[in-house]
Amino acid sequence: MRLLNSLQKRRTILACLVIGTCALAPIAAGILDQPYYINLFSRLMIWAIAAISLNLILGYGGMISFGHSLYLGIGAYTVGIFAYYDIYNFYLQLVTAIAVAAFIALIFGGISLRTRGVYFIMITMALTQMVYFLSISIEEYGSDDGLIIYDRSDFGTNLISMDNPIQRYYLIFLVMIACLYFSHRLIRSRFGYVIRGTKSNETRMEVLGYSTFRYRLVCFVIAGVMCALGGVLSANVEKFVSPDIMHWTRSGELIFMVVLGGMASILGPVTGALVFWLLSEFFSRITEHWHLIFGPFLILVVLLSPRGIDGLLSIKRSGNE
Amino acid sequence: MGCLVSRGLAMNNVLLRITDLNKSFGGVCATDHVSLDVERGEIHALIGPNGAGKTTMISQISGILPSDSGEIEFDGTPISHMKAPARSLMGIARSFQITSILREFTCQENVALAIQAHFGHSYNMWRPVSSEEKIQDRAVEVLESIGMGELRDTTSADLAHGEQRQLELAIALAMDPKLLILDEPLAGMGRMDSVKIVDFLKGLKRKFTILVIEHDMDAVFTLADRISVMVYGRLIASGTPDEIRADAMVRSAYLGVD
Repeated sequence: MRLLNSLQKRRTILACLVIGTCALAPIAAGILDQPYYINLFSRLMIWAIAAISLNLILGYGGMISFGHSLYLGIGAYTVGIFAYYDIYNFYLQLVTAIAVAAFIALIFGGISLRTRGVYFIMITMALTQMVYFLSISIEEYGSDDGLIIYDRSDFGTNLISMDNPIQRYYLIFLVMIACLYFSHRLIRSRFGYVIRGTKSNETRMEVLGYSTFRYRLVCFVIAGVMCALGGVLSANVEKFVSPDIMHWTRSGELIFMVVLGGMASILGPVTGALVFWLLSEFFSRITEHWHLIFGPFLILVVLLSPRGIDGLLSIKRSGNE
Repeated sequence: MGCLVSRGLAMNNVLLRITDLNKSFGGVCATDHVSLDVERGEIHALIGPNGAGKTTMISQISGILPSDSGEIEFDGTPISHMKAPARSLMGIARSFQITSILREFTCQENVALAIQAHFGHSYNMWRPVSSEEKIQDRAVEVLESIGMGELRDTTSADLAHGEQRQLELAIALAMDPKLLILDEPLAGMGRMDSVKIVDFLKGLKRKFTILVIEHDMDAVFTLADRISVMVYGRLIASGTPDEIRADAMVRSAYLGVD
């Protein structure tokens, strides 16, 4: 019981630290006179949103999707392509992005969820690469040079504007918090228990009376839609979208963030995104070939703590506890 | 054979009717033209040496394994074409010989998940299950009935082997099934635990229809109303415990080995 309490305490401290950092970053950027940090943290939180969504299927559902960046791409390209035709209405962009992401996730999930293990990993990756090459081949939308977005999404009101970096920042922050809270509710709900149970023992769940395929598919679609929200926000931060956003290495980075932060922990993906970025900054300052150190380092973390940073929190401090 | 006698009974007395069921793996006939009736309210034991195909057959009944041919009728409805979840919702619950629990979850969560499956849909993504009193109250009730009330908050992976077997049983019971299929409920249990479970199963008599595979002959002959004997995928005898004890073929094929 004592161990549990101290774990709870440490989790709360870490949560305050991570959320607090995100909440206060623009203020710190103002004091330090480094406006650059605002966009940097905006990007970070978009990664976090994508990682939170991946955690739903990867961490809680055991579905190792190696193609999750596709949905970032769908969100960003929806904004980009609308902007290409001079349509900037945020709500139209948002609804379209959600609908397209849900539709694609339904089809791709329907195909890939019929497989398990390595096959699932390969199929999700292949399907995403397919769309990646499609985006490269369409010259109308910039092919591999990408698509420049001349104006950000328009809310149709003067109260809030995507062009104001602070307002944009806190909008992203709110979306991230909403995604965190939704995940928190979801995994404790009936649906969440079915998803987690299926990861734990699928045969048992089938015999209990759950058609596991349907539940997994719904979860896959939810994760895709949530990730697409990140894509919509990303297009508004960058004013640019290119096929790079859905390259398979991006999907790999998302997986690393989830694993690093701690699979199946609510806050894990956010911590993971933050630490992932800090580490890549740190290592890239040491050497140009920083991936050479970064890779083995990540492997080491996973080996030492399979449950990532969240797993480290439950380690007993020797002596005084 | 007793089997032939029971097939003459009115259908509404029969809960599960298996007709000419087959399943082979490569050249091995695991289930070889098996026909069997399980009547409402009885405890029907399925015995036979290891590798006789008992587990294969109940996997066919529960829908985990597709059959090569044959008919399975449950409560008057043909179910051969149905998948496992649909059969479960019709009222077939099973336990596994190799403990099949959700190891990350507590005992109460395991049982609650079994109840939830038969309690409307599970697409609610907002309301915590822990606040659904109907489910949780029933889960506690089931755990207490099997003597595991105090273990409700223990993570099931941390249970002792005997307790995990008990939980396996509790999960099946929580589904409130019309037919309870138990695959070696006493497997790997100590003497004390075995006695406890046999007593508990006795208490279930007439409340549930039970099809049980078990190697413990004392338990089988104490519990069963009828016994079917399976050897090399074939059903060689079916009858009351006394008939089975007297059957020469069974003695030579199985009981005599003891």
